[in-house]
Amino acid sequence: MARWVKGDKYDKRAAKHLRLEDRRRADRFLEKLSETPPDTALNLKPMEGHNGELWEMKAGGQNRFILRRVRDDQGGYFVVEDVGPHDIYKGYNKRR
Amino acid sequence: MAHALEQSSAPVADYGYLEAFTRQHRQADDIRALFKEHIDQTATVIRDTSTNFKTVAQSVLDRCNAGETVECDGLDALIDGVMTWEVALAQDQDELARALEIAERAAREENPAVLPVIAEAGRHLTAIHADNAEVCRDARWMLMAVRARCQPSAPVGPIQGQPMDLDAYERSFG
Repeated sequence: MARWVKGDKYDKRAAKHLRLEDRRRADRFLEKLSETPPDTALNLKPMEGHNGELWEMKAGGQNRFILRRVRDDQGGYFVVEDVGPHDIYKGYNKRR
Repeated sequence: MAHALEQSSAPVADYGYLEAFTRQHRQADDIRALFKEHIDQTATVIRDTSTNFKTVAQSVLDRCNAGETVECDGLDALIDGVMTWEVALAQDQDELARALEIAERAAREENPAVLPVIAEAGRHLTAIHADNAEVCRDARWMLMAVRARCQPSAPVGPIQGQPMDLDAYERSFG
């Protein structure tokens, strides 16, 4: 489990990229971050090339979160910055 | 930041030539050459646009990593532009699938020798779509990451969850 909080820009960014049902599913994935140890189902990991400042995590379906790691007196936690489609091109060539 | 790369939702290509050439009763090699000319044109349009997005995104990331000021106001529009282009590519893929079906039907009716040529064109065009869609997705994701660093959100509401040793977790990735 980990600590997290939504950022003040998250809702606006999410509304641009995801439909309502996808945003609701994304919220359920965030709840999993609270309730369970990070496992392969969430695929929580640092984003390459961002020195541990940014992390990514599955948000359900083809979507992923961008999380920004910050610290307070209790240690590290995540600010949820963004969400958007990522795994959208798997099987693209199978469409035909 | 310039936004010349913003795209409209205009069609990427017209694939009507697939049926039109098929119905001309030419030899398969002639039709293959005609298809190639059009496919090359489509590939150029798609690759140029996708490469432009990739170049801009990489440049923005490099400036961010170098500690240079990134004009964040333009990032929203740039990300929207890439997304619009990705949607256009997906719609174009659907248009292509429809055009291929129509061309294959025409070939079965009038020129069956062309069927393999149509299939070949379909594979080639689909590969162009797939490659460039991924290029654009990576560019968009790069820009979204830069935006998260340049325009960080302020926390809203109480922090959820329980403390976890994120340093140890990060080290587990090696």
